[in-house]
Amino acid sequence: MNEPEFIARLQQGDETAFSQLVDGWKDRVFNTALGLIQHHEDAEDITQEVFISVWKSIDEYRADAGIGTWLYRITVSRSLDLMRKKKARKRFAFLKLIWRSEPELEEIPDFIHPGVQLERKQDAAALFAAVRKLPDQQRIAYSLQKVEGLPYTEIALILETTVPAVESLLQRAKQNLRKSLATYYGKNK
Amino acid sequence: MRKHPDIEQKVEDALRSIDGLQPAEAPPHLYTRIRAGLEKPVESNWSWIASVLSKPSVALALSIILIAVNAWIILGNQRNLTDDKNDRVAALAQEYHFDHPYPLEQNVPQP
Repeated sequence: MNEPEFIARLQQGDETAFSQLVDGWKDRVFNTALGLIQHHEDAEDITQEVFISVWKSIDEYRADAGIGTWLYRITVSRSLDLMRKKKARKRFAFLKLIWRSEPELEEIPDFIHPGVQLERKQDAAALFAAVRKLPDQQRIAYSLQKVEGLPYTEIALILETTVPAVESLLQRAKQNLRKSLATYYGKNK
Repeated sequence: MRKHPDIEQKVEDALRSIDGLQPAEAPPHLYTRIRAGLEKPVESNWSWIASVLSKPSVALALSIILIAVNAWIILGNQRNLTDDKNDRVAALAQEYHFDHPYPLEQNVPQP
């Protein structure tokens, strides 16, 4: 079945088509959210929200991008929203301390992606911690390329930008990661 | 400044640590969770307002504001009451000529 037909079925409220969409895309949506958020439960919630959002707003789907690109865009957008909320919560955490005796454990501990090889876990934890410090656009581009394994053209479509812009984002991300990791290893010799 | 070769090696190792990463798999029963999420009733504005108001920090802040407004009103009324009382005393004093005491009351020695 081709994509327009599949979209038409979804727009008609076909639950079988929706179930097929979830089965076909759930792992990719979850993996993308996990790479960005670096938190298992939050990534699960985002995956759930993405598909609920797709079901509710399928009529707004524009055929200018494939359904995959649309799903990635929603995942990235939801993950960004959550990241910003978490940052804002962290900024006002001192206010919460007035009302609570114990601080909330918002800080993400060393995140290790389940797909990392055992012998590389320590290095990967340091890398993921450095990725968390990247600016949003660099973090998204880097995560989509390294965690989800997407090509530059697909990342450009998701971010609604050009391939050279994605290349530049990734180059800057790597420079920042090198600096961040060098500082980290310098302190933890 | 030249970096320590050990650190450079560690940085390179870290950058390569997620090469060939195996994608993570979504949890089982995700579809059931999605269906449950779709069937959940949409929260109305009133329930949202109630949930915000029931937060301890919001409730405490509102109580402080309420107490401050009450204190401001009470203090304002008291000031008006004192001014009013002073005016009435002054009027009474004027009416009974309390403002011009008799010479006897002033202990002025009489010839």
